[in-house]
Formats: sequence, structure tokens, C-alpha cells
Amino acid sequence: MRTLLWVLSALVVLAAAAHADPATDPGAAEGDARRFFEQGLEYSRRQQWDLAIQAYRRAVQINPRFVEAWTNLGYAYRKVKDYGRSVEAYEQALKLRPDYAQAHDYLARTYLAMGNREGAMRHYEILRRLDPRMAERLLRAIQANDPDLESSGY
Amino acid sequence: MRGVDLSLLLVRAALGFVFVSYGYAKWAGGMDRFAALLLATGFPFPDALARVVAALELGGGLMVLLGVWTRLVAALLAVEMLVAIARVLWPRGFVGGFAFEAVLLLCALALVAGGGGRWSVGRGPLSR
Repeated sequence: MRTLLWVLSALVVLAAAAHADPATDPGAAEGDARRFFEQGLEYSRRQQWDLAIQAYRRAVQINPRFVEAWTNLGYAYRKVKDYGRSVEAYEQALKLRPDYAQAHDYLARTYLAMGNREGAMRHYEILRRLDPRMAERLLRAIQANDPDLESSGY
Repeated sequence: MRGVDLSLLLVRAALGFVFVSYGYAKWAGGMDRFAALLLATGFPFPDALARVVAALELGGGLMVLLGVWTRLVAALLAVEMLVAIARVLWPRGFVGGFAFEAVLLLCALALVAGGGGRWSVGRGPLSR
């Protein structure tokens, strides 16, 4: 019993240590990441996608668990037709938050832009359960084969 | 042994209330969101599985609370937490990620090891 408790305690401590980042102040880092994210939003609004990509990349470098920044990075990559990196960014976002409706919508639209209708439908099936209205809009985009149709982007 | 029984009762209460609450929330809030999460993380039969997990949490939480088949139910809940951490929560890290589930896992394992204690409704080794 005592051994079991030791083993369990050690596992918890190891897990915490593996995920902690003692070199940075989490609060300050999050603030910096947020600033780059806001910059990315501004560049996205102006459709300056290369600058938006740079800003979002800085945001996720500072805070690799910044789901919205990964999602918007994926969107910006899609806009410059770098579909491989776009998919990677969305997958990163969904690894962190698998029930993030926006990322499923965007990823489906990226697959649609790549001509991968099956991939788009796979994420539609997930989105249908998360946000039926958003899923309806996505389905119309898939049916029209138009990734930007009724997109909630910029 | 009264202290040990009180400890086990408190652990049962904590674990039981949490799982009953989360299980009820899954049933009451619609199963679609949870099914989507399961689908997105690669689980087969997500709609059926969502109902099974919600039933386990609601029913199992109640059984743990009452002290019926505590060791068996706690083992099932521990497996659920282990799978949730490994398949869904691990990328988020400990703080803000799987810390809560890790605590639930350890509480469940404590009940697997110690049973439900003397103040249980159930009788026999599976309960106490």
C-alpha cells in the first residue's frame, strides 16, 4: 500500500515537472502572446496574411497552448494557400481543445480547398454535434465546393 | 479504524458528488457535445460511448456515494480518468489541463485499494 502511494505521488510530481516551464513567468508570457495575437487579428482584418502569420507564430511560440492563436494561424496559412501548414496549425489547436467548433469549421474548409471532401465531411460530422448552425453553413459550403461560402472569417 | 472509515467516507463523498454532478450534466446538457469530443479524439461509436460514459459517471458516482460495489465501480472510474488523461487532456499539461482528473484518478485508486469502508450500504469485499 505504501509503495503504491509512493509510486502514485512520484507519477503526479513527474507529470507536473514535465509540463511546467520554470524559466518563464506564465502571466507575463501569456500577456506577450496575447499582444502578438491581437496584432495578428489586426493584420488579418487588413488581409495582410504574411504579417498575420508572423504575429500568430510568435504568439504560439510564446504560448504553445494558445488554441485561438493556432486556429487563426491555420486560417492565415489557408489564405496564402499553404494548406499543409494550415492543417498542421488546426490539428495543433484541436489537440489542445478537441471540441473547439471554430477550428473544426476552418479545418473542414481547408480540406475543401485542398479538394479533400472526405476530410471536410469528417469535420462536418463533428461540428454537427458541437454547433448545428455553424455546421449548416459549412455543409452549404461543402455542397457548393466553396471554402469561403458563409465563412465566419475576416 | 474509525479514522480510516471516516477518510474512506470522505473520499467516497468527494468522488461520488463530482461524478454524479458531471454525469448528470452530460445527460441534462445533451450528449452531442461529449459525443463530438469523443469523435474528434478518435473513439469509435461516439454517440453510444457518450451514453455509456455518462451512465457510468451518474450511476457509478451514486454507487460510490452509497458504498455499493465501491472497489469495482472505482476501478471503472479510474480507467475512465486514465483514458481521458492519456487520450484528451495530456497535451494541455498538468496545470489547467489534467490536474483535476489526476486527483479524481488518485481518489478512485484509493477506493480500489481501501474499499468503501465500514460506513457503506453494500456488503462484501467488492463494497468494503
